[in-house]
Amino acid sequence: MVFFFLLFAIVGLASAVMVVTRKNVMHAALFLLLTFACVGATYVMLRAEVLAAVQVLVYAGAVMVLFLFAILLVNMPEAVRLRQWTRQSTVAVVLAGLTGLWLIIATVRAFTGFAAPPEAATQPLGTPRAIGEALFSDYVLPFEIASLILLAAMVGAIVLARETAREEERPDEALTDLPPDTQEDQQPV
Amino acid sequence: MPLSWYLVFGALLFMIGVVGVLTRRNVIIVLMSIELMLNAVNVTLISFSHYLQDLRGQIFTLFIIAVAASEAAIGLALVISMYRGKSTFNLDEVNVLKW
Repeated sequence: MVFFFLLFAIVGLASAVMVVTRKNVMHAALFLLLTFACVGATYVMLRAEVLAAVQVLVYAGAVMVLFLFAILLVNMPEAVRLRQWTRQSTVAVVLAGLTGLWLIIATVRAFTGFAAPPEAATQPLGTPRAIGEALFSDYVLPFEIASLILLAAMVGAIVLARETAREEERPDEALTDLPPDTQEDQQPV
Repeated sequence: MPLSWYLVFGALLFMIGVVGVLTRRNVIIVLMSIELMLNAVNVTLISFSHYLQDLRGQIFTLFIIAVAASEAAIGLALVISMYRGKSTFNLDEVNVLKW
């Protein structure tokens, strides 16, 4: 168990570092896929099998396909040769490192020796039945709000894509709808 | 296995995501780093859910995943729109709202 946790944690963290440091966006996306898989494996070790399935379906499936489509649509090979880092990189790394160090120290001090209750190993908590019953009884309002958010995201994505499409059509309209004073050749004086 | 290991894993993942958001210029990699941070939060929530034997952490994670999926869709639509408008990937070149 400890071996598998260390394996998934180290592979996940290493591929997360690769996501942040790669120049090629496609390589970063594929390393992100590996990170998602490792995070899903830790969900399985925490006995959240439903969430692991959702992680693989939504993150490694849907979100990843979205990223790959976006990368292919706006493919810019010369982007690899551009400067990759902002000018505040050093300050940002130092600040994020200090924050992470503080977070790690705080959690280790607060939760060392915090063991799972004995029934955690025998009966899994997040069975599909339990999650479904909770979603459709106590959490039915957040569930509906989540569906509204997804609808709004869908409409928003379509609107953002359509707006640019209309801008591309505009030159054609300008050619057909010429103002009358420019059509001098058709009106002999 | 102690709870703090999972929390340290989540904290490190979050830290890597923060570094990615703050240091990269490529907007797609910044979006990927945001996904990394959301994953780190999910790891923390699920580990607390397991160690406290409370289902609410997992329900919360489910909603976070839904919001993250819509965030990725909108963010990538914005990336495509930005690329068509300004022909750039770099965040520091998109500063018309900055003065």
